[in-house]
Amino acid sequence: MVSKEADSASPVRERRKEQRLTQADLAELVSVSRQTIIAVEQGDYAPSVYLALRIARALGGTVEELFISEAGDSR
Amino acid sequence: MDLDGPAYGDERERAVFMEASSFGLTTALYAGLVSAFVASVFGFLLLPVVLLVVTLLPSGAAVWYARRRDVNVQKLAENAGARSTMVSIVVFGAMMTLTFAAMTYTVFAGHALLPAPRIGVTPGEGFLGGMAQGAVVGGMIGGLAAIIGGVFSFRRARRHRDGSDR
Repeated sequence: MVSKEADSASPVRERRKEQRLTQADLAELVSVSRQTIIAVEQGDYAPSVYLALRIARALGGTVEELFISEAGDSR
Repeated sequence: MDLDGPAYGDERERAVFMEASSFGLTTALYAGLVSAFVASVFGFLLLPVVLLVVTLLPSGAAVWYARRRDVNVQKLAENAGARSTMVSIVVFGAMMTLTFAAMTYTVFAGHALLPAPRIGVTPGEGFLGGMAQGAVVGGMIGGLAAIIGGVFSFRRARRHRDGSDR
């Protein structure tokens, strides 16, 4: 679990909206529940490397872009 | 028990499920301790021992399961030196001491610290009698309904899964 400090600016949420995907669409693409996508976007859950990779692939980005902050901390 | 199975959901749901299981185990541990103490106060000698064994069994099983996967739970607790671990040990030790102290009193004094309340139930007579009849019959029906419901939901889930696989 991680803090909610990244709540307002979630790269995953921004990228998902750019791709015009709903949370349910992304959840289905990466085979997790919608609640898990919500938790990842809110910074309540730090996904495993495997899930982070699946999300990054589904959104057409990299794990670094979506999950690593400028300070180098994982979101 | 298939901990990697789809019944536990995705990785976050699985993690929360495991946390919930730990919470449930801890709750059961304290409930068992309190029940053993209460039983010993009312002069029971075998029941507290059975309750303590039943209480300790899940914890022992959890430690054994972790050790089989090269995780020494005891060592983790020792190394962490966490206050919560110390509190748990003190509470557990105190409850065990109190339970056996109450049992010792019963053995040496020949009677319990407190007389056990007697609840006489005549089937069908009065509120308690009717409630007891309803509870035992209702319990049986509830158990059977749980089996039937479980089988139906399992078959529905399999049909749904087979349909989505095609």
